[in-house]
Amino acid sequence: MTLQALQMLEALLLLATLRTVGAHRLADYIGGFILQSVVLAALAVLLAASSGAADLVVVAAMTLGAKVYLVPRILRRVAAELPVERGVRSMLGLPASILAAIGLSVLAFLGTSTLAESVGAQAGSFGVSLSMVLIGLFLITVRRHVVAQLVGLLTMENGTFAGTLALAPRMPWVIEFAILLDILVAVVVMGLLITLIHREVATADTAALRQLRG
Amino acid sequence: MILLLAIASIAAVASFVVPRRVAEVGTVVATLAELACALQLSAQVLASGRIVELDDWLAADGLSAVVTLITAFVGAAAAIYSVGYLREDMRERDLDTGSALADQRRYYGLFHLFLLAMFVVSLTDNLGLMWVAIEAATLASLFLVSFYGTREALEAAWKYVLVGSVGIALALTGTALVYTAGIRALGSSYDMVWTRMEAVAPRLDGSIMLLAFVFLLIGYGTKAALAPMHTWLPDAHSEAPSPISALLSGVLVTVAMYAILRFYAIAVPSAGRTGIDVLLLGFGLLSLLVGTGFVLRQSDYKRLLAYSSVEQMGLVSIAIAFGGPLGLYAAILQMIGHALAKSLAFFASGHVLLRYETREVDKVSGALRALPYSGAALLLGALALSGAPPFGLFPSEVAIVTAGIRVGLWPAVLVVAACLAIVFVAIVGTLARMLFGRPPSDVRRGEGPLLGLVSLAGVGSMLLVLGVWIPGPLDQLVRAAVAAIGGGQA
Repeated sequence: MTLQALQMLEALLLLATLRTVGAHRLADYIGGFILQSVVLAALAVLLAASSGAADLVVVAAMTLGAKVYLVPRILRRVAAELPVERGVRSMLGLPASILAAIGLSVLAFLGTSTLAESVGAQAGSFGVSLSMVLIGLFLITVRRHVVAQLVGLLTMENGTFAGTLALAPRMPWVIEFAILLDILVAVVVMGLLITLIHREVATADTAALRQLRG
Repeated sequence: MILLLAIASIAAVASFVVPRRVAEVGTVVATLAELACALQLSAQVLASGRIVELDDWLAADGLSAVVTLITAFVGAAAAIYSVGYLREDMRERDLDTGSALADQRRYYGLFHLFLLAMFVVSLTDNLGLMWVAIEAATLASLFLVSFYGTREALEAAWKYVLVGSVGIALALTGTALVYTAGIRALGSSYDMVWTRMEAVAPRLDGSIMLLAFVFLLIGYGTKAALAPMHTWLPDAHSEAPSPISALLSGVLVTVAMYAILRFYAIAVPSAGRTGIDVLLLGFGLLSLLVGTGFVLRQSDYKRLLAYSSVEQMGLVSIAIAFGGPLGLYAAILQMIGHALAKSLAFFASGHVLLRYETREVDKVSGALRALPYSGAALLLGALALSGAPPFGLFPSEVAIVTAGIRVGLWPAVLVVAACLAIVFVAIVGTLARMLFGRPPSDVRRGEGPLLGLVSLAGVGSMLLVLGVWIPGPLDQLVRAAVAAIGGGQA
């Protein structure tokens, strides 16, 4: 029963990630990230209920506070300050992006199936986690909007978090807290930098940032 | 250790609020005090082996001591240099009033935060906290890179933080995998204390450790200037103010390499050396080749120095792959020598930049006549970086080649030797064009700021001394560091 619920949530996590890949408007990127984080918090609560580890509830609460409330708020504020551009430009079209992302997931699942057995974890969890890391990396490389790239970065981190939940659920929550704090600071700082850049070059398109090479 | 970190934290907070002059004096005093703490720490490590403080959160062995010393020494030199450099730089840009003064206070505050984060990396025993500190170092240095606020500086800062964060995200995945690999030996809930993991290292899950090491090497390798993840580095190093370039290039890459060495030590016993050495050798050779290639065709002298970091860190990585006590000893010696030579070169080139107001090699000539001391320091730094005897990097590079010959990796040894020869010609050739000849008539002659010269003298004399003679305590410390990471025995 719990196992089924767990697998459902993990499938939902992957779908939420694909949602960001298929997104066109910035709001959808942020929405996809929120969905990911909500599912992650639910996963943590479910694991807490099934294993009786109370600290996972703390982790879930921290996730909700930081990733569902604070980070999206900052992202929206940064996005609001940027000029209204018609959607996020990309080096790869949306259908091709989704295909590529699915390809990356398949790769991740194939690559982790034997490894997962050796630690006695569910092959699925490990695969979902690595898929998210790869898809996040993919978003950063092909999307040209700064906020979209930031969401890619957050997706990578969420993927790692999903992995620790599945493989090492009893990791001390202090570390989790430090990591969340770090991410929060990172988002604030990068948001600040984005607004500075915007004031200087009047665009959020990273293709404009191509002066330094060689 | 606690004292060292406390000084750095207080200095960081204080610098944001006190007037600029106080911040300047405070910065110099604080970094010198940190250096004293680092020296005292090293003596303690030599006397008693390992020191643990604060319940496993802090610990120091030979390797920590070496890296802390590097950070403190270059940090103090950069602090002294900064005061003179920033004052003159701001005066020339007509930015010595109002908000610009606040900017300078912020500079010193971030400077201390940056140093603090790097001290935490080398002094913590907790691998999770180590990750947090490396990320914090990136964030603290971000606005130091973009300090000038120009379009290029902002572009460099964006690349720096984006590429760096991707690296750091991969390193986080790697760290989580290391935790997973330890569950079998340490139970499902444990603190990721390096010492404890090292004790059970042979019982970690080998296949997971190998995968983790791939993530960690790519992740921390991004910070440690390994190709092909080095793309942010030449931009950030060349756009940042010169003292920051010295810290980024001399210390941050060293600290990142330190993190890799820590994981190397706990990964080798379970994952075996073969796979790990192939990875280190591959990234090392690629960095060496890329670094050499770009050094060869560089027309901007700060970028030239930045690419030389890629090449140098490639060498360090290769030295670790060659392994054995000799290879590891050479790797650590190379890190020390590189930190000194690179910061010297960046300090000296900063003075050149102040006078000539250009970073183009072709527009600078006769620097030895225009600024005799800084010019001489630049020459010294260039010779040292290119591995010429009798300077700091010569003995370590000989040791690297010897270690390679000992394990019989001839093709790698040949590539190393060829690259070293090319780099020698490229660096010395390029910088000689800047140093000799007659300075253009419109360039104001005269030395750089006096405080900057003090830094140059300090770093330069240290570099000269290490070239001909490695003091006994330092030698013991490096040996202790080699022993701490397993001495290369699998």
